[in-house]
Amino acid sequence: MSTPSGSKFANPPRLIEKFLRWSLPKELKEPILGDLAEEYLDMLAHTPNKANYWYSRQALRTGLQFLTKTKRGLIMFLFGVAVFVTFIFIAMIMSGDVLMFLNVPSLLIVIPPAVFLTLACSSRQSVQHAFTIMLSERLDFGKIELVTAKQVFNTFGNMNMLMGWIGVIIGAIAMASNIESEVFSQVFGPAFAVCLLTLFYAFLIKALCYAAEAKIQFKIISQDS
Amino acid sequence: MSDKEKFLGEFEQFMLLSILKLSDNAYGSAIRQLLAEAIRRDVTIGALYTTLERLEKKGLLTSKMGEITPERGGRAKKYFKLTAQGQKALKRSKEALTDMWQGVSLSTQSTQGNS
Repeated sequence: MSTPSGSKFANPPRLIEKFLRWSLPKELKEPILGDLAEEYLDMLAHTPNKANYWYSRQALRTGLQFLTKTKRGLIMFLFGVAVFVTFIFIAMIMSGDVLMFLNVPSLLIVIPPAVFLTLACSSRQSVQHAFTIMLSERLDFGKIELVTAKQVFNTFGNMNMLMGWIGVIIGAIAMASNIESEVFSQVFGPAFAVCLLTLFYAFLIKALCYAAEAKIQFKIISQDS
Repeated sequence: MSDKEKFLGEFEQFMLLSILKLSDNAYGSAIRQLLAEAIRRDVTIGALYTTLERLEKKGLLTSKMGEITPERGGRAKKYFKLTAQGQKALKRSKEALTDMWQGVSLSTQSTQGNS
């Protein structure tokens, strides 16, 4: 798009325009984006310095206004996840120290292998599409697409659980091999706690995957009915 | 008074009047600019379309997609037009306001109130 004044601001802020397009209902995308583009171009010709600010303000306010209508399901899902994470976090704080629940090796035992195993069982495209479907409000996906997406989250959740249990077993074997009887009572507690962390991480991810699966299942049921 | 017979809100009246004034050129951006010039209200395009949709659902407006223009990035305009019901509702609101204004003199009252 060129401007009458030959200004360097040829296009409206791309990211904001993308956000607006994403948040608008299908039937209003064309007229609203067109109206804003037209006024933006007009503004570039007269007050080029204000054009980007004006467009951003209009697009953000309009986008946020329609977001609660067009993305209600997504907002509720993210709100649910936020509440879940918050309560887990509060429980961790009330248990004493949040840092005792943080163990990088345990995270590395669970998440990367689960990700790679899930990719191996499906494909990168399927995983990306599964997230798109889960975050989308659309109900008109194909049945196979929905079932595949659900399967991706099911696989990822289960892989995490398996890796969590494998982590526990590895930890238990390491403990059994290294702890000496003289220091058993002092070392066993902390070592066992760390050993259980892989299972803790696995359960957290499984719970989120279960929620994603349930969301997709709802779309499948909506299609069937 | 049934829902359909309720009087129009202030902003709804401004919108319907803008559409009448703009005649065949009543689309989002033009309505927004007219409102900004006439009543100095910088309405967001989202708020404008929300009201237009509501009025259309009430049967006071109709809309149709227009031509695609290059300055709009190849996107079509959505033109609005008042229905007979919309014109009737606007007239009723105007008459009601005119009736209410009968015998009211703000300047006199404000002078009396200040003294």
